[in-house]
Amino acid sequence: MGQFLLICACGGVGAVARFVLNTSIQRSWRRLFPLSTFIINVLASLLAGVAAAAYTYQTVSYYTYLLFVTGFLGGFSTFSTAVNEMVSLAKSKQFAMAAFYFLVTLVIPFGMVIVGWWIGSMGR
Amino acid sequence: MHTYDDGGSRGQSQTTQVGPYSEPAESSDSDNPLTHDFEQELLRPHPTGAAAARKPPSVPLAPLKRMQARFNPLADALMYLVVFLGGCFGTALRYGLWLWLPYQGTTNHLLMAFHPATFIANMIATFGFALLSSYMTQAIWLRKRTRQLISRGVGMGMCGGFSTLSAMMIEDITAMHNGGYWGFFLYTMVTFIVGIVVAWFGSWLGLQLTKKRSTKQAVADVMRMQTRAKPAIGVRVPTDPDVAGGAPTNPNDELQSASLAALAATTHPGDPDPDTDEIPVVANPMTGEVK
Repeated sequence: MGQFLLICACGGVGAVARFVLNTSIQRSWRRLFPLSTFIINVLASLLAGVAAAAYTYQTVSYYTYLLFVTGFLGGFSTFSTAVNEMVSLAKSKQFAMAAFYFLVTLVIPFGMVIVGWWIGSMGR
Repeated sequence: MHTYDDGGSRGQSQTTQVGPYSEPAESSDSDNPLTHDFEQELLRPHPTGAAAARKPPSVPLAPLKRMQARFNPLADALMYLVVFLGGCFGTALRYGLWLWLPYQGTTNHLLMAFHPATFIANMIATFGFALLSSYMTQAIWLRKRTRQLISRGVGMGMCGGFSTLSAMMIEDITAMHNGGYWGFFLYTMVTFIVGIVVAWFGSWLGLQLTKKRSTKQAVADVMRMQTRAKPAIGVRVPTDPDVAGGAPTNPNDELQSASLAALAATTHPGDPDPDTDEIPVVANPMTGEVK
C-alpha cells in the first residue's frame, strides 16, 4: 500500500512538472505547432528509454523502475493531450499541420526511446 | 526584449510605409478615377502612436504582477495543488488498471506489443480530456476560476496522468526487441487512430451537452442588452398583434439576428492585438465586475 501511494505521489510530481514546463513554453511560443506537449513527450520518452535499459541490465530494482517510469514519467508524458491537439488542429482545418504533428509524435518519441536505451546501456 | 522605443524597428516601419503610399498614386494617374483613389486612401488604416510600429509593441509584465496568481499561473499555489492531486489520482487509476489487467506475455508476434491496460487507460483519458475541454470552453455559466481549476486539475492533472506515451513507447521497444515488428506497428497505429476517433467523439459530445444551455444563455444576454423604450405611464399599448398592426414574426429569428448584430458590434477587425503578457481583462457586462 505504501508503495502504491508513493508511485501515485510520483505521478503527481510528474503532472506538476508537466504543468510548469507547459506553461513556461506556451508563454513564449505563439505558433500553431503544439511545441510544449511535443517537448514533454520527447523528454519523457528519452528518460523512459534510459530507465528501461537500466532495468533490463539489472542496474536498478523493479520498485525503482516502477517509481520512475509508471509514476513520474507516466504522469509527465501525456497521450491524451497530444491526440486532442491533433483533433483540434484538424477541426480548425489545419490538416497539414495535424498530419505533421501526428507523424512527428509517432516517430520522434520512438527514436528517443532508442537513443535513451543506447545511452542507458552504454556503460555496460 | 522588443520594446516600443526600439529605434531600429521604428525606422523600418517608416521605410516600409513609404512603399505602399506611393504605389497607388502612380497607378491612379494612368487609369483609375480620382474618386477611387480617394476611397482607397480613406479605407486604408492610418495607425498612430504605438500601433504605427510594424510589429505591435511587446509589453512585459510588471515585476510585482509576476508574483500574483491572477496574472501568472506559475505563481498560483492552488493550481499546483490541484494538478498534483489530479496527477496522483490519474496515476493511481492507471497503476490500478495495470495491476488489475496484467500483461500476459504471448509468443504471437502480432499481439506481442498489445498491452490492454495501457490501451484502455489511454482511450479513457483521451475521451475524458476531449469531453472536459470542449465542455469547459462552452460552460460560461461556471465561474472562470472554477473552470480554470477544473480544467487544470481534472483535464491536465488527472487525464494527463492517466494517459501515458512513455509506457507505450517502452512496450513498443520491448516488442521490437523480441522480434514483434508488425505487432509494434499495429499496436501504435491502432492506439493513435482509435484515440483520434475517441477524441473527436468526446469533443462532439461536450459541445452537444452544452449546446442547449449556452444557446439559452446567449439569447438571455441579447435580451438583456436590448433596451426597448417603455411606453409612458398612462399610454395604452395594444397587446393584440392584429390591432397593433405588426406582423407576427418568429421571435427566434429576431433574436438570432439581434445576437449576430451584437457579435458584429463587439468585434473590430483589423486592429492588431498588442503582444502582452497580461491576461486580458474582460468586464462582465451583467455586473460590471472585472475578472
